[in-house]
Amino acid sequence: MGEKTAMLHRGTGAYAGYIRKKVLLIIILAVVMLFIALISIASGSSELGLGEVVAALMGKGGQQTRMIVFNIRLPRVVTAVVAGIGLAAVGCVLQSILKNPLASASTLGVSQGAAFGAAFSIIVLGTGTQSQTLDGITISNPYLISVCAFAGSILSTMVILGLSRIKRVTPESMVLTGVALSSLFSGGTALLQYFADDVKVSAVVFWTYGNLGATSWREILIMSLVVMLALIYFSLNRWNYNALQSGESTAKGLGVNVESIQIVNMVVCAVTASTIVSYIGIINFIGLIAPHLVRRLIGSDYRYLLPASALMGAILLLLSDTVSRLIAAPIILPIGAITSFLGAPLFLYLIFKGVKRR
Amino acid sequence: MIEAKEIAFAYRNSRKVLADISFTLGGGSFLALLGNNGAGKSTLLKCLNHILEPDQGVISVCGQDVKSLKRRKIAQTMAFVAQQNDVGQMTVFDTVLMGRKPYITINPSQEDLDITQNVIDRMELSDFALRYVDELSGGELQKVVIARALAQQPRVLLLDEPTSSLDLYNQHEVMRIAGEIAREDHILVIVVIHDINLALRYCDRFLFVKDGTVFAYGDSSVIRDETISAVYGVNATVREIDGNKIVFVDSLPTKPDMKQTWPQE
Repeated sequence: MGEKTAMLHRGTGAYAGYIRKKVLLIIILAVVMLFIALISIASGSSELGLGEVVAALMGKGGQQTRMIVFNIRLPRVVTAVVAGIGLAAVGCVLQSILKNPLASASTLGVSQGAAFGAAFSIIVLGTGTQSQTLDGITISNPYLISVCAFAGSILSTMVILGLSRIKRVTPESMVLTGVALSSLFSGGTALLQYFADDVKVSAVVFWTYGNLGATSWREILIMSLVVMLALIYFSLNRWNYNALQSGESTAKGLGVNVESIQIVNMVVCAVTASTIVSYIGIINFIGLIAPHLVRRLIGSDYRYLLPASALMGAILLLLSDTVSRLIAAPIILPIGAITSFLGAPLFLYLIFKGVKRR
Repeated sequence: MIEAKEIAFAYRNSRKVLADISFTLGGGSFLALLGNNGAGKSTLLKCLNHILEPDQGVISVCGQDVKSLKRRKIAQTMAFVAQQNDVGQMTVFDTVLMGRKPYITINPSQEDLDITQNVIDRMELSDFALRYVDELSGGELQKVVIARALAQQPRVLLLDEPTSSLDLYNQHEVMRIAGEIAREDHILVIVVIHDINLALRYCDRFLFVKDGTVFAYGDSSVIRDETISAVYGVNATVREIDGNKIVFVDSLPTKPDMKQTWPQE
């Protein structure tokens, strides 16, 4: 073996070792996520042991335990995992294509659009009759609300895309358009609430708090399917996201069709986030925090950043949900408030410390 | 290798930046694109690589019309190093590996990894191959982005002001490397540069852009007192010392036309 070949093998060998560390970190995140999911299933008003949970998941154990696990706790935990993965992956991708470290689904006006759609459904279409349940407040026609929330959130993205057809829109102007549309939708929601009665207003407020405990298995399946397809698409584009980090001209020079990548990714992100938000309400900051937390550990190579962010999103949403259920039990605190509580300090940290890896 | 015919380009709602640019150049040449600020040098570079689409004219590379090529194919033929290099939090190896993007479908092959390592070794970046690029100095970073461009295995290498933010040593180091690439790999290297003396030392072809057209084009014989005066609006003397041409600026009698501040992309 010549000296040059030996050097080459040493170089690529060292790189292979470095890659193994990144893969190991992703595996650790997956294990942590599964462990927290088990703890989350075990936690609640009727306390279960981890052994009981594992047995129930394997179809063993008592009837009552299996009923609690499969009908109450598991749908909630799976919702948190799927929504966390979806929102974090969307945030991670948007931060690349919009070249904005603070981008997330909310940047495109998805959250405010969904809130407006839900408010329209509850107040104008009359789906806001509420009833008291053990779990808190439920809304009479959640399906119509989900449809309207989806329409509202996707409308915002369609406006941004429509503008980009008329005029060449830069990532910066897309973000600013999203901010303007968010403001427009917030104003619309406020106006609807102003003319609504107390019951409907409280129903709108309840919806916007976010709720992981109201999804059926059918809805979870729809969410999972959308998130899975989005993840496949995102993972096929991971080299494009890497190239886009170096700027538009460099990305084009590396063979990326920048404009079409930006537009198609925005549509995929909007559909994914809208689907999630329409079922569980507004969950802020997961899409923003998760990518930044793992970026500090794993760098910004999207081959590893994307799966790690998705797993971190699931971990954060699971933790937030568990905290929201346990901290003031038997009252379940709104999940949206807990995630915002986690997100706001990080937001301030990003402003004052920047996002650079140490 | 590359042929530009009557290239014209204007940014949206703006005057023409390039009015009529034509030139032909073969492999192994090292061309300096010269002209004052806003003359359209960077725009021309982006038009050559089809990062910007010219309003008229034809650009052919290796006999093929660039317009008819897919972006991936263009990236396999021409590599572009931008003036501003935003880099993510990636290692030197991963950044250079990105140059293989036009060839990678899903995952990089062993060949991609080997080419990347070869380029890293050649550019003497092996010692910090696994360091993050945001920890590097300006000179090291410039070498990394040139290495990324080389990993594309291009026939044409386009460098947009690669020396503009570098110290004296690194300016010469980058130009030396670019010249070496042109000579040894028979790659056509086109560099946008402001320092004429640096260009004179390393480049073998010179193209002056003025008012969106080619003012002068050829070997070092085109670098004359009157060319410098006409293009830059300064009184200059070109002297030959030890067989090397050197440009001395005597005075600033005429102010360059400041109306020519074209918008950048």
